Amino acid sequence: MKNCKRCSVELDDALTRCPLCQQPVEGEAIEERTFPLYGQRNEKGELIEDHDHKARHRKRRLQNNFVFGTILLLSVTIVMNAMTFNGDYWGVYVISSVLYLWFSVKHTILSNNRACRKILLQAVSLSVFLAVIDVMIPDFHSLIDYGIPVVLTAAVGVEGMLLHFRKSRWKSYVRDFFVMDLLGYIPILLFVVGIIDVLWPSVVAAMVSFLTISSQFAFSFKRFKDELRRLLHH
Amino acid sequence: MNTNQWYRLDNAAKIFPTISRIENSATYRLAITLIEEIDPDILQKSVDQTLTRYPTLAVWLRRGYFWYFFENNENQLLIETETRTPCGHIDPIYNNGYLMKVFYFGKRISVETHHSLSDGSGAIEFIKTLTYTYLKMSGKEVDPGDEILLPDEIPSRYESEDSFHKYYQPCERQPIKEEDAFMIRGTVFKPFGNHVDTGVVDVQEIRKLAKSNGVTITTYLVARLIRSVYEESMQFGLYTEPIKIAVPVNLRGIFPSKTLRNFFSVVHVVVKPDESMEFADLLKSIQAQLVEKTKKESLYPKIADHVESERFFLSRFIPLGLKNIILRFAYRRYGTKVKTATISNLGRVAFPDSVSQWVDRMEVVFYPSTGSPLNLGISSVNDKMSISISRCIVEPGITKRFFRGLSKEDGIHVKIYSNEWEAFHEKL
Repeated sequence: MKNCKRCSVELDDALTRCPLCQQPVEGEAIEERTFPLYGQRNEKGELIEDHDHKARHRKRRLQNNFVFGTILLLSVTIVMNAMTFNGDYWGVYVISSVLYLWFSVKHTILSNNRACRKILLQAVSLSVFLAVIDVMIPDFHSLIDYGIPVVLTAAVGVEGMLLHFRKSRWKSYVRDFFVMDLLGYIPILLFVVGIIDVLWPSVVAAMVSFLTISSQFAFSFKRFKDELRRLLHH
Repeated sequence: MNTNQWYRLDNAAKIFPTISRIENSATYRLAITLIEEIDPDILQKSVDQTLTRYPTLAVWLRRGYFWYFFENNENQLLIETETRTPCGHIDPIYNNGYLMKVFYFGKRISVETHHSLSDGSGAIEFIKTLTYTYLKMSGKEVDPGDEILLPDEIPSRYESEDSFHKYYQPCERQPIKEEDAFMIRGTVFKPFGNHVDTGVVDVQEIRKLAKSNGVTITTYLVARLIRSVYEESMQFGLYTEPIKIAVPVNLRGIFPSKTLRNFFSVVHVVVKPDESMEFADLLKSIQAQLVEKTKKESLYPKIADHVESERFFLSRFIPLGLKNIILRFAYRRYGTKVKTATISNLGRVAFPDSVSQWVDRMEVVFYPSTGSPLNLGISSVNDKMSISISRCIVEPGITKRFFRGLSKEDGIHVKIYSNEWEAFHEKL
């Protein structure tokens, strides 16, 4: 039986020092421990407990490098554009491209998100990027008229196929699919309010959205209905 | 088991998925120490069987558009040997989707449960069934009596209800604004981990001591903690913030609920630094506060406050992503800053004699966080009370004063166990 005289407490026989006053206590520690020895190392000599911490630290450092690189590039661009300003806002192209690239790396390449989430985020960010570039180029509307509907059509189509063919991941895909499908109707709304001038790409996007969601209702009506009830509960 | 079952998160659970992270795991541990070594194979079989009795624990968390929800999880919950400190963050991706873990080490079985699944009372039922099943599968002659839910029983629907809504009564809402509490400061362990010191005392001895002072055991231990915090951190400074100890109250003792999900409320015991810090005065003040604040009439407005916040039109239809941002802010403002520490007393855990003869003791470890770096968990089995102080800061002062107070000033015999995370941290 071990005791700490300073603290007047009995100590577990596995302890070699008092956890309260940190002073060593007499007697050898028995082999049968009450808690694991956290300092154990694996075959590579790494601390077992430290695995997650190191991985997190590496990831955080990579992210910090990205953030700092982005801030540096954007600051230099803004200053250069301002110093050499001749009525041309060329910095906006650089800034929007860098931001789109940054978003793509973070949320598509480095992210652990499911495929449908990545497609959704990529479709939204690419559409915004195209819209910015389109606005910046005078008398040029192709990116809004054709680019955005094409991006959204492709995204809805791919998500629909993933949902159909990857049955095992149906539940993890359906939440993002439903949002993506709704986004497919945005081009036709933009046409109605006069932002998009060409009708047919928007009609195609809406048509693909409609057919994709209809196929879900047709082939798995109960499952889809149950899932929507869960996702929309409030 | 209905494989298509899903559950809304109960009222108290809604905050936990939003706020939990590595430094605030929202995961508590119940650990039972038997008198013989644990056999992992039998434990795995016992977990598989026990989990079928607790469908509200055998779930995975999913995101809806407005709220999270639980869905039945058919994967196997794999037991693990302990390699990390208690109450670590549970990442469902690496845990077959589960928000709970079962560990074994030596003679101990530990169940770590994310607070969104259940409160301590629900988890106690799980560990009781698990212990019984384990002993039975190990060939022991055990009788479940009336105290244990059996694995082959069909779960009652009352066990999965959200009792907050059931016992909600409209009444005048309390003002949300609470005075900020004194915060315990310290150097956070890096890498993050929880240091746990457990003092095992004799229940009769401490009950006698509390009774001789005319208070309950909880009151006595709250007073000891407040005194320790004051002596260690505030005695020689000019502080205006009060010491506030959060004491979770099991509402099943007040309302006739059978739920295995969350059904608790938290009351704050408040002591201002300009008040007398004499121990006898502290006991009187704390006892009076606990009696007053745990009355049914005092708890109704708290329940109403939470339920009405959930039912509020805007909070129902705000998208989950935005809701998470608001809830995180609200938690930092109204959850963390208004308490100095938490004392969670799960009380006496009752086992039938045929089971308790195989049980040595039981511990509850309440997760500390960077915002609330020291907490106490108390439970007792077989007349042995375990008082576990968990902290994520290096400084051991408050723990030392607390246990020294019990042993030196009160003359209680205390046996200390420790996971020695602090010692490991020093080696790094």
